[in-house]
Amino acid sequence: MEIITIDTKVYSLRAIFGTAYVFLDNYYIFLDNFEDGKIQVKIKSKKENEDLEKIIDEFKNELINASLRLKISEENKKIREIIVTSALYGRVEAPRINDPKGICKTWEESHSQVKINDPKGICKTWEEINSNDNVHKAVNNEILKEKNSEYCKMFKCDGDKN
Amino acid sequence: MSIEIDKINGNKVGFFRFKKLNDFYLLANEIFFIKLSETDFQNFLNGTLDKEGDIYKDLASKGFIKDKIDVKKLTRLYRTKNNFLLKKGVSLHIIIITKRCNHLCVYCQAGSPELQKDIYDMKEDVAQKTVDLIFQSPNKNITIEFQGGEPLINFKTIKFIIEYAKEKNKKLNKNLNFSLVTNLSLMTEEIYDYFLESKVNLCTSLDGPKHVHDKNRPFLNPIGSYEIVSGWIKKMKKKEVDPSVKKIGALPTLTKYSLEHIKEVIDEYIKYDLRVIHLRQLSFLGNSFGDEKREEFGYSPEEFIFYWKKGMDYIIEKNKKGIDIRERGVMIMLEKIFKEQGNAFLDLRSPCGAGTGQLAYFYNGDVYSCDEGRMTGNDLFLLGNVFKNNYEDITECPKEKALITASTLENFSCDECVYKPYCGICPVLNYTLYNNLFPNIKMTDRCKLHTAMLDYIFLKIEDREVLEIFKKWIR
Amino acid sequence: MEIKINKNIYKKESLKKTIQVYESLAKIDFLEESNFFIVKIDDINEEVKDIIQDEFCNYLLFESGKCL
Repeated sequence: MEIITIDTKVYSLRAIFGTAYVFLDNYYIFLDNFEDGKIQVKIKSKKENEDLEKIIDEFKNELINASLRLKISEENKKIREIIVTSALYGRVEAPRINDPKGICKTWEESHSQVKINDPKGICKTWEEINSNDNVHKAVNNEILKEKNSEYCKMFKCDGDKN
Repeated sequence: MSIEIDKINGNKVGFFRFKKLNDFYLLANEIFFIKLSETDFQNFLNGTLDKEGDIYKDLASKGFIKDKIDVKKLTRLYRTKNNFLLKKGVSLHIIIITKRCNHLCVYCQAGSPELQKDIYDMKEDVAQKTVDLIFQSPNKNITIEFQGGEPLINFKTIKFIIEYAKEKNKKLNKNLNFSLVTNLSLMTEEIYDYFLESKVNLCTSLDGPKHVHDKNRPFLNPIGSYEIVSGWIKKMKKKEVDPSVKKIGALPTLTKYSLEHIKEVIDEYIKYDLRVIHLRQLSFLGNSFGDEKREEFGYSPEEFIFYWKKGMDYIIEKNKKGIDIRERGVMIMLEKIFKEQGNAFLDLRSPCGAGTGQLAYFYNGDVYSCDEGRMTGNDLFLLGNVFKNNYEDITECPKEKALITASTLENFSCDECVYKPYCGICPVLNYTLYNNLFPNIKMTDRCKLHTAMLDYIFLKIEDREVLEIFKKWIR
Repeated sequence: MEIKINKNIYKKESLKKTIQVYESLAKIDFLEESNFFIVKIDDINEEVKDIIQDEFCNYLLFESGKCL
């Protein structure tokens, strides 16, 4: 049996497990806490008289690979979700309705050529006034005045939601 | 070279999976793949590649450089590659028209009962209900495939189904196709003419030259199976000069003995101008395949991989000499790697085709998730019955949902594997062999085999001549 | 036979599932302490007595990894 000590501040438990999976077919692997934040990985071959030195190196290399995979996956989670969701759900089209008299049109669709003369910006929405970038901060500033609001409890009221 | 994770530029590096193959790194995302030297790989991770260089431009065009990702393009390509997820309804309907068979193939999962008992044949009332259920599928493409036992034992019901389906289709106007898998021992000129007229695709078993084929497939007739099969293949090949005649297909089943003669098996296919051969591992499904048989005819995945590579090397050698012979498993993987639309082969997709792409209708009306599901010999993968359930009951039952979950690669460590876009899981095999719908995938025979096949492909395409041969296969 | 399993690494649900899988090969039970599960394996099937501990731990590792 060989023992490797791994610092979980450097390699996460998830990376250690992911690495261990690769070796379960041919080796027995047992994990134990060693000191604070360190894990002992005990490796034993399923074959008799196998030299484990080489496998220790392979385990360490695979640990680096596993950590890289986790990092890449985490850094790109959102973009992957956007692509897959758009690809599979963005495909769904509204059914086409045969409507020659335009009965099903909304008011806006029927009056899209109408321009409203609004120099004082009375018809602007709250969001248009505050602009997209500042909407969130604006909401925060308003609601911060109510310290016990649900919003404050959710986002801990430091004025910025990430 | 050791990867330096703390130097990775998270703003530059897009999503990829990877593997070190010999002296290069293979990277793949859901759509593209790329090969990088060790140095280029580290530079890519650090975000220090020369932006004017070809490697950077190649990475950027394929979605590997995060701040150069063309989201619209990748979305469109992802949708194209996974178009099968958007298509509604089962398209492949396998009808086990009889359980009876006149062969005693050493590897048979079907477990043939006595020939005299026609209780194992599908009757007309069951056949009618089966076709009615098949046409409840919303898919505009319907393929009805006849299997057995030996289907020609129950030819009269095959004919009934073909005629009834064609009649129903006059109103429904689907793209209706038929195919049949047969050992050809009961084929006659009359039956063959009927299949030609009805445009039925035919596929037979040809395990190799006579000594291999007859050893694997003992036949009750003293003539021997090989003489009959080879005779019919020659006859059918003569008819194929007419371009409207569909080509006969053939499949070998590879036992230990077959593998030891793999080159002769391939030569047999070349001899009969059968351009495509599928070198498949024996699947140990069914209670007719006990430990003794496995010992005698079976092999480990490592043994199979050794002979498979030998077979593939031989096939490539033949291609280099101008002989067109192709391996079907590799063709499917090549389409998934190189073609924009990929390949929706039911065994190599996520989720697999069980209950979504195919259904298997047993002679007694029972409906199973897939061909493998009916071969287990128990009702684990039984989804319903043509007399008791409609299409929706069968395709939306809890078992079916479990199968979908158990074959979705994102639910396994497959999601970390560089070969994920080209691979698939069989939950029926997993449950039958490992007693677990969610086993440690890396330890399964199928994973070992697919990994070996894909390693082979990506290493071989380093040779430009082999790359051209492979591209010709999928043109 | 006794195995000390660290609770910070291996999960209780995974341990229960593993015990279920191996129950036909031995009598397996566990006690819960503050940092460990103490797994006791008795009445072991003769054919597997040399490997059951290692195989049990491998399976437990596999099941625990699913939860991460």
